[in-house]
Amino acid sequence: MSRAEAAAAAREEPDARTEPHPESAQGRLRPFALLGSELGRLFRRGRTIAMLAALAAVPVLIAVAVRVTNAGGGGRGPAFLGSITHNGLFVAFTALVVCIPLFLPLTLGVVSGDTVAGEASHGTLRYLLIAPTGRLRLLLVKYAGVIAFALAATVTVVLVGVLIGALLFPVGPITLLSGDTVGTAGFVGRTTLMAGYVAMSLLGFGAIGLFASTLTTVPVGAMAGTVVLAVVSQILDALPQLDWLHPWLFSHYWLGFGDLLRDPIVWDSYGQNAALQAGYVVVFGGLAYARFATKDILS
Amino acid sequence: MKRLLKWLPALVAPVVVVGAMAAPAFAGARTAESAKSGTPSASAVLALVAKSGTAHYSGTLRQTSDLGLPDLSSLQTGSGAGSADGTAGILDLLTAPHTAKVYVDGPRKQRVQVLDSLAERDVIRNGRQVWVWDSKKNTALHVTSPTTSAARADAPTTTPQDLAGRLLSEAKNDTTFRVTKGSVAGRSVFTLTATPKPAGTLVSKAIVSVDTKTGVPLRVELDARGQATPAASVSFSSIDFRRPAAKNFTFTPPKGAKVTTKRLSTPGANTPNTSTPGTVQQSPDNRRPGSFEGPSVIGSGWTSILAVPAGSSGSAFGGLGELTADQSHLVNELTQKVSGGRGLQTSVFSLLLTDDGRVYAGAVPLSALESAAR
Repeated sequence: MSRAEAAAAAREEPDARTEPHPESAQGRLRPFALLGSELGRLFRRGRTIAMLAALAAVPVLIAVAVRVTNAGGGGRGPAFLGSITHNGLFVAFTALVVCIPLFLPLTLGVVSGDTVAGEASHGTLRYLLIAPTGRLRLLLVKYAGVIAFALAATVTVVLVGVLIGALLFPVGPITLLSGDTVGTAGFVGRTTLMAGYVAMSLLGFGAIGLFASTLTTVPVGAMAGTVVLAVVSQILDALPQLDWLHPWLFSHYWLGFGDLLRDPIVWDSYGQNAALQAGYVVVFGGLAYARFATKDILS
Repeated sequence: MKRLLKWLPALVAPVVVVGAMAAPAFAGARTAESAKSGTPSASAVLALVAKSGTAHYSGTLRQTSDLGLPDLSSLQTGSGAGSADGTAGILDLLTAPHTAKVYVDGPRKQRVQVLDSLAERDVIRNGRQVWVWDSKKNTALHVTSPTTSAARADAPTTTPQDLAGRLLSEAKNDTTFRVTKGSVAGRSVFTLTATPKPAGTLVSKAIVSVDTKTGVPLRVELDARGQATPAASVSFSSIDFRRPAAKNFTFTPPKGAKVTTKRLSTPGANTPNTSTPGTVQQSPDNRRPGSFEGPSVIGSGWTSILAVPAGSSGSAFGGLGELTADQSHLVNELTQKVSGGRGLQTSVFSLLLTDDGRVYAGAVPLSALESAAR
């Protein structure tokens, strides 16, 4: 996004961006104005829309490829791929499996790496803080934007997967990993839980991106660093020699959403993942605050 | 100063996180200490285990092994640890860590649910019905055993105490036993440690931790000589002694799954071993007809060696020449060349496959197997 666009975006939300005083009546009446402006700006950006479209293309591509070749891969390929021809709803699961290692971290890395560094590079960070908005508040709003994008990205993949699967393949009761089948209500419930799980899995990673974004005024640097970290974490997770380290890697439970497809649902990885992500959010959120609060804002 | 203060949250956060992680461990240590009082004898502990057959519980089981073997999950098709057939399935169980859910409701209803990444293997026993399910292969094996009550009637009517006593008096010749108190999965346990006396075995210790109230073994560990980490351990990370819901023990194969049905006809035949799904799937056509010379045991106690003659009915192995390309690749990967065959040396046991099809195995060094084979 160019500087001009940023200025235009800022002009669109004059209330939020140029609040005269935090204690003014207007500020108190609209406590979420900054959040609303941030979310509006994030989801109206061409780049965000393009990334969501790219994510939506993954399930479409999978479904069309399976439909055209009419082959389930014969046990090879990502998990659930073989089930798609029997039941189109599995497109959503396959798409999640495919997106989690690279596409979701890549897009979230772009969004979280851009949070502070992007404003700094546009020269808008100064004005945001002069507004005046507290630095903590700005950081929280930026992180809220990251969370919103993580949710939107996951929901996009799942929803598009379900829709395209239902369009191209027969739909029926879902066979769980345990061999039991669940009907529509069970499917909707479990899919919602799964989207929540995947979005939650990305929170720690998002916090790392936020911290990286406070370190530099070059957004590309923060984005690249964050995405590289996601890849490194997954490589470390694949090395059996480092198994003592695995439970501490933020990517360790990323594929744990499979536990939601068992009967009864195994909640262990949900709980462990939540604790791990909370740990990462606290540590890197703290670091991001410390860095951002002590930083000289020069742009 | 003010700048420093702003770094405070960043410094405090890791401390808080690590503290939160470590707190349960400290709490566990305290309960373990408070349980210091009289410890029962080794035979009393074993009798406690023998009585636990009617217990009902559900829990999470973690299995790790460090046999000095490479983790072979990467050798199999990329995405799939645990998807392979027969031998490779067992290898996967031996070399990679696993988590399983266990549901037990008395002696007739059991379920082991192996939680693989985005896949699952199940063994469900409900009375005479046994189901083995593999989600990755989309196959279900249905085994119906003949009336289990007949098999039960054959069981000797000795009390658990008698049995434990007899077992121990036999083992006492070459084993020292020690009972301590501890805690596993938040339960207080009696830990029975068996230390072999003979120097010829690879096993340095076998440890069983038994729940003090119910007698359910909560942790089993096998230690190898000269190795700090356990060679193999199976341990409950959490356990719940309420009766598991009945629907955990029912299984209906999903539409589209390949179902194999097997009926065990011989009266009194044992139901398949529920702990290792791999062994259940062994197909009978691997067996060779002909000589019925069974396996024999050389020596006694910890240093005993199991010898399976070539082509016997108990052996699925028909000499190194008869392996398929895949199998021999796996065998070559695992074993080393020794005189007269190929040997596998792990930290707690050795296996020798001779060129003429004999198999030797034991908890002894490979050299002892070689001299037994000569």
